[in-house]
Amino acid sequence: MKKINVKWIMTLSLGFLSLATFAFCGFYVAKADATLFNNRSEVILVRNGDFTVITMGSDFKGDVKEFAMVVPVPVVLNRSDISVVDKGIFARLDAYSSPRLAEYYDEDPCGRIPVVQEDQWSVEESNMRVPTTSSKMEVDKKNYGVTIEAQYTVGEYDILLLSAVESGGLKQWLVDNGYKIPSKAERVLAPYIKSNMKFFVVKVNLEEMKKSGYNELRPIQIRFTHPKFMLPLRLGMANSAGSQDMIVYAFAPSGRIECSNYRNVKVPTDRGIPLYIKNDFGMFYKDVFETAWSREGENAVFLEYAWNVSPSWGGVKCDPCVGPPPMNRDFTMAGVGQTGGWNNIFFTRLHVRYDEAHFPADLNFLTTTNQEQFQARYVLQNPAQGYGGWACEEGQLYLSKLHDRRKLEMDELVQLTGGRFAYRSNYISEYDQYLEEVPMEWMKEEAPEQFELPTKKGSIIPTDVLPEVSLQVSQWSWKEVLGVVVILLVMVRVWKSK
Amino acid sequence: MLQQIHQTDSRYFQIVGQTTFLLFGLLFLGCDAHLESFALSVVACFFFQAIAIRYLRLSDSTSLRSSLITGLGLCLLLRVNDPLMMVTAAALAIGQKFVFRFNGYHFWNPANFAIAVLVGLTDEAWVSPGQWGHFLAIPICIVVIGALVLKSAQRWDIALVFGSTLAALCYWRFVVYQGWNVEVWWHQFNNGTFWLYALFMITDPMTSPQNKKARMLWGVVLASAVFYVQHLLFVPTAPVWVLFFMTPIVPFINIWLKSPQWNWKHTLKTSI
Repeated sequence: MKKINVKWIMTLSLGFLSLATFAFCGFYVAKADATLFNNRSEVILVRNGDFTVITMGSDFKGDVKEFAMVVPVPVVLNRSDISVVDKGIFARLDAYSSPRLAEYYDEDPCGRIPVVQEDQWSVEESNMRVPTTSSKMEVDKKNYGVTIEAQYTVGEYDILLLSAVESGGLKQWLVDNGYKIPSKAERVLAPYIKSNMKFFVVKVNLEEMKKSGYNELRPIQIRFTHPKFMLPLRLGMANSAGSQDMIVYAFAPSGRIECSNYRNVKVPTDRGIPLYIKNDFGMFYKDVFETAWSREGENAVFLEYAWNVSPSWGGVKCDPCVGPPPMNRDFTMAGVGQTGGWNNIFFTRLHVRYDEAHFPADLNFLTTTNQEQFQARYVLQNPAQGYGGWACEEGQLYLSKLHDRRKLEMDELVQLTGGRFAYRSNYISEYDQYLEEVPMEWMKEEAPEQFELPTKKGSIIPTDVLPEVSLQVSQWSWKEVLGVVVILLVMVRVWKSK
Repeated sequence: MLQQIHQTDSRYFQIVGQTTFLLFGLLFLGCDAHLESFALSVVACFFFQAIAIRYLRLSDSTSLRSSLITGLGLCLLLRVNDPLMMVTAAALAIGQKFVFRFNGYHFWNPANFAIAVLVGLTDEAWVSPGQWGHFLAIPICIVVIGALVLKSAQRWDIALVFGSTLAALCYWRFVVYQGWNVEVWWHQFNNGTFWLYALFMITDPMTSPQNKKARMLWGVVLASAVFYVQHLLFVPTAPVWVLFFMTPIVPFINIWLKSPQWNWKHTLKTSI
């Protein structure tokens, strides 16, 4: 029997939406969407009480015959708890919540030029189809200790729900049934079996796929009621070396969803950056993320977006918007509102870069009542055009401030990207020529000779706090720990003697 | 030095310990976004305690130290949408000490009471169990400072029993039974929020049993309950709820075993 490569965990590819523009205070000019990150997966989580909806996408690029997926789930799912959804939902949520670049224009200091620009976005139409179904129950007769709890065909997928008594039997069953299992998998399967989890096993049904008329695999959605609220990362690590990215789009009625067993950190936001980043925004954000990830010890979960998206809520849904806010159709598709109690819809976008060494345990989540809105936004500030000249007093003052602002932007760029973008002195001094008198100290300004990455891996100290010091708390040796203990005791002694 | 530590009001150690972690959070973990609510929490707790001392004519003015601990405890563990909710939390925490009394003493840990009530009954507050990260140094520092607090308060026994019972239960569950790596077990334990709860709240001498044997047993019961709620009922904020719902039992244990009620000046008096 031909072996099928097991694609262990949810992955999904995205198409680019047309880059729409929308004016609100500033102009959105670019976004850094999820497609920037290779080896990534995307998941939509919906949680209300103990009711959970998980939508898993796939960016499987090989022959669909080779596709298979195994996901541990806490309960045996009914046929009605599984469906396939239109891939566009991921693209729409990504487009709406991506880190964004906003552009602003300075007013002319010695005369005014108005700038007006406003477009409307276009919205993709969904072409979701109702999946075909069939269902039967059977128990595997051989002595694998594996029970087929349920078997369905949903859309283009053949789905099995397995329970097992031990990992060796499950692994053997999967191998004998044509699934190619990574060598490390058995060790990882065992804890899930002992946790009483079931295995949601997916293969492509070629006939159904032909009938459906779709050329690519659609995301699978599962629903269940169980207090466990987690994503099983460890299984995905069994056949993957290095780190993987995961984007989680989450909806809850109460507020933000956050990770309960790793630190939640906001990506840097609202920073003014040099104008020439405009065409390189994707690369820029990749570097921003990588620098932040490294600085936080490579084991934090990053918040990229959080917003109240309730249709009934009157506030703005983004500032500026990079894509249309999710609408009723999107909520329905994601599984929002399938139980009561949705007075409010709060959306959270989390970005996790995980590997075996830094994420020893699966991601657990909890819903909070945190309603604070957040977006990753970077700002381009275009200088005045100078149509009225620069000679007036305000003009000279403006140019002086412009020089300082651009220096600050350059420093921000270095700090945000860990020096991965080149420092351009001529960008800072571009408008100095219009100054009647250039301050002497500006002449002495020089670019730093060489940039070092702001912090080493494992450090948790932001460089803007202590640029010269790198305190690698998570990698302290026993001597350093002993040193801290001694210092603390001495401090207590000194304090007491006073 | 140990003699001196014994003679010092253990609340000073606790204030130093909690302030250290707060500063650590402010400088390195991005907690500076909550500066306003931190300030409000500490000031409000201090204010409400001062009012209580003034109008309820309390003889013990050192209870201001306790209110500072409550304020810092709220800063470390409670998160709110509106900083003004911290004033409500402070009012609840300090106020309940004078409402829910048994035998002349309050029985709920003030900060824990406020956290449980606000998180349980309103949509304005929450607890972020992951916020203190998993840096090895944090539990080590918490243990060192916590040890000083507990040594001084003579409550190291409950911390030890609580910690080791929970460690053993988690080890059995994750490593022996489920077959995860030891890293998974350690990941549970290396959680700063858990250590803050364990050493500064669960071991609160005012709200734990006074009889030594009962206290040890109490440590085992609390640890088992936290284990059950967190790992079998999957509630990530288990210590908050376990402590809240179980502490009202403590006064009955104290009556049953007829032990004198803890007094913060106890060690001072006996040492002098």
